[in-house]
Amino acid sequence: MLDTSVRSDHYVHMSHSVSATNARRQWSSFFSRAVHDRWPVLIERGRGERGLLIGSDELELVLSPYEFHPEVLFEADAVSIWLPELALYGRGASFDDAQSDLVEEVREYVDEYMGDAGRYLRAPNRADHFPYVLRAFVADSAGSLPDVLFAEPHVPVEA
Amino acid sequence: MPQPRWSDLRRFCEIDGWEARGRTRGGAGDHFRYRKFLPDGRILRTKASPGNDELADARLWRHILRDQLELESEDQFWEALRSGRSVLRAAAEPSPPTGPSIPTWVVSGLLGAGIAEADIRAMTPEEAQARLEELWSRPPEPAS
Repeated sequence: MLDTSVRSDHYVHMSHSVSATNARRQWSSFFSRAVHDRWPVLIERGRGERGLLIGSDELELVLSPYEFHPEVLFEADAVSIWLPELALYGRGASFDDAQSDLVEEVREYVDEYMGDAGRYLRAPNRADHFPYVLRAFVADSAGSLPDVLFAEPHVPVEA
Repeated sequence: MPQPRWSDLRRFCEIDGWEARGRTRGGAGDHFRYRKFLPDGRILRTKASPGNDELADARLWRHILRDQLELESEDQFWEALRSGRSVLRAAAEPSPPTGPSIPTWVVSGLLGAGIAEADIRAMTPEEAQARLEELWSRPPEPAS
């Protein structure tokens, strides 16, 4: 049996998953474990359906290697910013406009991807976008999407 | 090659059978958005500015051609506009199989126990393992 019990200090055995029924009953404890104790909770339903409850800080840590490398393309009357990780671009009359346009473009794409994740994850040219889409989603929910998109990367873009 | 214009890109998307996804407000005003599902599972997306301005930056044009329209050459773009026919794209490399898999030792064990491969194919990983455990837990047949 994979279920574990939750002790009063929210601690549970780390090597086991919890059943969906237990997770529902003791939701607050498991949430505290994931967020306060900073250890993900593996939740299992039936045979083989598994989900992971993870704190957003830890998720950001996991996703931090997936950096963005936007490149600015200056034209005579416009500026474009190409985002290679998601094959998107933003465009505007100024650098600020192009940045704003790219942020909106990424939001649209994240919505589109998450709205039909099964299909996008099967698409040969979209599956690799998943960690970047997830990173953008987490950053946007924390109000830091522009910071994440336009941060100086630790690893330079490949030539 | 002629200098491409945004109107060329919009027309290409119409000819090539892209789904128009409406206009959205962006940093350069409205954009026309398009999407296309290819038979091999690829999903293409692009957007085009309104008006008839030239696509002045060659690098942006190259990204659009290669990474959004997924064309092998610019010739394909102009040929579609000239002929009014959609592009024949090469299929993507087959992707590795996904979905549930059965451990090799389970499959070997079942085959060794005389279960037909066709029957194993129809099993979920859990069913395959349960079947093998059930076979292994049977008492050995008495020697004749």
